[in-house]
Amino acid sequence: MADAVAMAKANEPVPDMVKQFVVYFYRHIREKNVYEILSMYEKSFSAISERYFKASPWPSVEAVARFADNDHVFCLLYKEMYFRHVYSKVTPTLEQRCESWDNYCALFGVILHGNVNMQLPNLWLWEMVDEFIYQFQSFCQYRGKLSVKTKEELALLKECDQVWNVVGVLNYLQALVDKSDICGVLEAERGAGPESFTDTEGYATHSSNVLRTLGYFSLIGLHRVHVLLGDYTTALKVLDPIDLDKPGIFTKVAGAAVSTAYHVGFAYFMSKRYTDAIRHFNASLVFINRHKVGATRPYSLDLLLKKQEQMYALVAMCVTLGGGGGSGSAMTSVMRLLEEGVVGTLRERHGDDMSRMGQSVVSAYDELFSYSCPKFVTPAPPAGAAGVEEGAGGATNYNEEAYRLQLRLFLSEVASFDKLPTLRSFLKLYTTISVAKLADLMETDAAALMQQLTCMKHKSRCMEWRGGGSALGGG
Amino acid sequence: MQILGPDRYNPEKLKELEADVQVQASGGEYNSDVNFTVLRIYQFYPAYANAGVVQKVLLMGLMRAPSTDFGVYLHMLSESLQKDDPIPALSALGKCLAACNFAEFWAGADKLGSAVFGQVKGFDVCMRASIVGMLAVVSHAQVSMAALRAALDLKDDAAVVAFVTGAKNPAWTLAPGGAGLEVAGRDEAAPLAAGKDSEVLAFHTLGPVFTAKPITARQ
Repeated sequence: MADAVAMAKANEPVPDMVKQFVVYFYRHIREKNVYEILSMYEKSFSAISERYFKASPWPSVEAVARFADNDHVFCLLYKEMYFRHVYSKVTPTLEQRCESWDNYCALFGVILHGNVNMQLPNLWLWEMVDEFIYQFQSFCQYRGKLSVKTKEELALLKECDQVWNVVGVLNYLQALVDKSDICGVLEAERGAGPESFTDTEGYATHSSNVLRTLGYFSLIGLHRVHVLLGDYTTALKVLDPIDLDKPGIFTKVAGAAVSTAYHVGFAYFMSKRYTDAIRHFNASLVFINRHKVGATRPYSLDLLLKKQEQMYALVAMCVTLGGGGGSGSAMTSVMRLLEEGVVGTLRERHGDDMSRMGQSVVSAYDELFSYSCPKFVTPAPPAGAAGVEEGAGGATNYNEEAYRLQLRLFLSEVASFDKLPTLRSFLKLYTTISVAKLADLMETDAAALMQQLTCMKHKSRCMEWRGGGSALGGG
Repeated sequence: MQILGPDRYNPEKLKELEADVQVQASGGEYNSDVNFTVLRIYQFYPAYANAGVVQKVLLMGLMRAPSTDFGVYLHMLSESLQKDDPIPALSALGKCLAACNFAEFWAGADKLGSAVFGQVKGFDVCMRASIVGMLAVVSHAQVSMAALRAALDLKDDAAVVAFVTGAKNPAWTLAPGGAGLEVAGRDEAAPLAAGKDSEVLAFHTLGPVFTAKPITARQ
């Protein structure tokens, strides 16, 4: 039965355009012609997709393998692109999700065993890691929507408990980091040797760049997964080998630079390190403004613009909370961390939101957080979840549990700023005022007022990075 | 105990990690890496979650205020764990600390009692030391006796003096005349976002200077 399916796929008609694409793409990969590989990967693949496969998948790997000498590694790479296209156009089936996972396992397995001698463009290696985590996120969302699944689907899901398992995902990323020894390479580079990894962008003519550069991007991948799990401290810690304040390979690939800045900034934001978050968002917003004109693919531009909007929303919250929850001069001092252009756009897009947040309107925070937060994941079904047994309609979805938890905890932190805007506005009216009088104005007693004043001073300070190798450091 | 690489995600290490949490709680060196790893494994395998270990981790996070560890530990707990007593009460105590509401903090702690706080050795002493640290930052390194009594939930000046003396912290000095406490080495660096101006002017900021109309004296 499986042979018959494979035979049918192998006999699937293949358009000439695809045949030519596969033949030349395979040739360039064999010849390690990185420039041509990049051109075909970035431009030709998306042009053909837009023209011939706007709403359908590319031909199966079984159909095109013969045009690439049935090369095993090429087939794994083609399948990686094939599934990326499927995920972008349609909602994949469980079978497709499982097949894609198996393909990543096989591809990473080959790379980890050191059996490749290719040179691939950094853009492709970044997007491989990025897509790997995106598909993991997508699976967690899919798995958590129990109420719309039939009994058969739930039973099948139970059998696939290793597919897109969080421990598997993290272990692959960690294995790529360890096997590539990228931490050792980056550590040696801090001693500024010639022909460093960053200077050559990882390309070395005498060997393959794939494992080492995948290891590098896997550090960013690990960081992102930890953010999705709500572990903001470990998320920042795993990036210790990379100097985030200096140019690196991640700044040479637009998607990597923006994704890193977004997730690092978000981790700082949730750790209440608002100035550090603003620093990263500001640099990234300036970067996006410069790079969006040069975007070569429509969907990559869409991704950049979406991240840009999310970062503006996060900056609005950082500026408000970093200014002690108020508005006016406290916020102005924090705004000085932003580029002029960014400030202008921020006021234009979120001026009203910042006013509402400055008056402690919780719904303003709720809306902006919900829009700008990443898609958190619940890595495993809750203990004792009955969903798998109950069947369609009887089970409770848990796909949004992680998001609701993070939102609730964030709003709880926001609630501690509740009285501060009012207090600040009274303090601005007077040069000196007695505690008793201020307590009257605040409709509270002296002891409670002292506590609020202490809280206001406490919230006006936060930890800030002051250089050094670790993003967690600071004072 | 050092957590490296794949050990961060290895459930087989769980027993060892939980034992290390117990060592920390018994007076050993605080190790946030171990604590994050334990909570992470509980995320991945909810059936392994141990409420006692979670409580100890949260208590140790509280003791390190104003460090963000406690907040991040909470972010890693599932909704069902968050509902298990006394975690909601500990979460409320964390909010009290974040709002510098020390009176309510100690009132809440009294309600929970030694059954909870006794799980971590020296909780009271460490908690008081952390609160002194928080007060010293907002009070410019000098904290009055009255503020100390209220914030540390100590009944009189003699109890405050006994606590400070017993802590043997070289950075703490009792002010003469019983005025209060001086804390050396507190970072008096600027509050949020001051002093970020560079002496180098960005070129685009000079435009308005050159295009502005000259000011002429009125006749």
